[in-house]
Amino acid sequence: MMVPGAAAPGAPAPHVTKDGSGGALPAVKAKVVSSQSGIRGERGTVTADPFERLFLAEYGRVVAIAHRVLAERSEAEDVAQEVFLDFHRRHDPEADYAAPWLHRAATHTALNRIRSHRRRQRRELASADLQSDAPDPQQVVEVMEERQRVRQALRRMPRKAASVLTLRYSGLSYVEVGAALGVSTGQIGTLLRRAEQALRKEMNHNATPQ
Amino acid sequence: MRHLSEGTLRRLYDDPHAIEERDRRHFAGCEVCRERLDAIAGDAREARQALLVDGVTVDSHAAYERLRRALPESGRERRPVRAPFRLAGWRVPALGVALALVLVGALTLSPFGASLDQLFQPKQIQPVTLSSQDVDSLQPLASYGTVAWQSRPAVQSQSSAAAAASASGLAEIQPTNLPTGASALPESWDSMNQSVSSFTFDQAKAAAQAARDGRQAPTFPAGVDGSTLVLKGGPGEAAIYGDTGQLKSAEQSGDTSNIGSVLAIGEARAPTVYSTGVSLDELKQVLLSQPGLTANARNLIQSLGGSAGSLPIPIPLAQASATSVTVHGVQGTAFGDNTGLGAAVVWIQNGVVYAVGGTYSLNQVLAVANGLP
Repeated sequence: MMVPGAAAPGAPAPHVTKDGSGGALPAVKAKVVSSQSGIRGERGTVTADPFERLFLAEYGRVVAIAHRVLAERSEAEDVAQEVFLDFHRRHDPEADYAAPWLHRAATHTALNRIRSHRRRQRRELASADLQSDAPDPQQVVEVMEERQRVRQALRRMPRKAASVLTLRYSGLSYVEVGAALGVSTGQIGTLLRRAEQALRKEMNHNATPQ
Repeated sequence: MRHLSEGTLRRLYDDPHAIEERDRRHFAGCEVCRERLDAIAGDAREARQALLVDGVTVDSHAAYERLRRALPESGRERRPVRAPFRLAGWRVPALGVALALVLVGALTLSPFGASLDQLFQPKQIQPVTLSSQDVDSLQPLASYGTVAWQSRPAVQSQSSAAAAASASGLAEIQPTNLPTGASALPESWDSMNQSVSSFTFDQAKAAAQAARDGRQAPTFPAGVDGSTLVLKGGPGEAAIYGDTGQLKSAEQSGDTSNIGSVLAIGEARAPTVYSTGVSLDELKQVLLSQPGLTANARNLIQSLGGSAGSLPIPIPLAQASATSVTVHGVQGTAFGDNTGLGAAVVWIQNGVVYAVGGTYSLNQVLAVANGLP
């Protein structure tokens, strides 16, 4: 029998493949330092405002999704602010689609940002400079180049494929990914498989850093 | 023996308990599927590694304070949005699916449209401005015969652009020039089947209705009485960016103040009209014989077909302005302005009617239209 909603990070024991690894994802949510429950407003007081409750409940995850694409915390937080602001202007915070909408909007907004190719490259290089006190500067540069390659691959991939990868590897369950993308849970395995194949092809295609 | 699908194996990799017992049993005894899982697992590991990023720590309360400072003082303040336009005489929900599909289909698929449509497949759009008096003067034409549906138009939700394309037989809707923020909106896709309707001229019915209305009975040219027009419309498809739940509520309530941003892209096979006997000129002659037609109504009828194969689109006089634009190198018709309250563009190319519209400026809508493949 199918178990809908399974496969969240850290959930049931993964299948062990020939090389001994499994498919469970690592814990990938952004760590929220001041509110884990998402229902407390003024530092410990329970908030009655539905939008604030929604914000506190989902902010960490929205940042994590954007960060998965952008690999830059401050920009990921900018995306989260933009997404929540947009939601606030137009939607009911108690709508049942609120969380899926935010997840999807975070993905798309972040993917839109990596389209501005040159700007991103400049930022990443600047970021690499900032980390030049790392033990091995050469290693830092290699990491930055690899990240750039991944962002280029995501940019070239079909939007839905890039979205399913972003959402799943941000720790969303199959049910949550399906809700965010507006497709049935049963389709996620197929979408994910195709997206991973597409990512591999794009990464191979782009093996030489530009 | 039927092996497990790629999707099932991918799910199995993440969670062996999430697949059906039958599939699990198959997997346990199938060397082929185990080999395939290893390949799938390899891609999954590579993807996970590629998308690995450093952990992030956020202060959600501080973030909320930042957001609150950016919010309007008076609390939630949603941008009021009104329907781009509304066609007098037809209750046209001018947003969402309707925005795309009504322009493409309803005018030709409604009983009114069926009584007016052309014996041809249109090649370009021609807007005709109508007042409520113009519309009233056309209404008796519906009594000139009887409408029958062989296949009614029905809109069906689809799971993806590819599914909508598969259902409609048209190219997948893949916009490349979406306005900023539109791609962050929820998407939905719809398809519309091909509809077939017929209109059979009935002089006795027309005379009876004229007598009831105290009008002079129309005289049909020889051979028109009993002849039938057959109208095929669609199939079509639409992609909608926006909250369709809110759209439906807005359409039902008539309150469009909270619909948020909406963008609809629709395309459909241009309607085609066949006749069992009546010619286009005879059809026009019948329609123009209706006493009391206003000048604009006569223009609408006379514009049917024409040398350029025009599809007239009635535009309410006080509701919207229409301008001629060039889209993909062909003539199209644009509605609305650059206020962002609503705009749309319609054009016909290679036998397909396209419509793009939404709560965006005309320039943005035109950019979307020109960005379609």
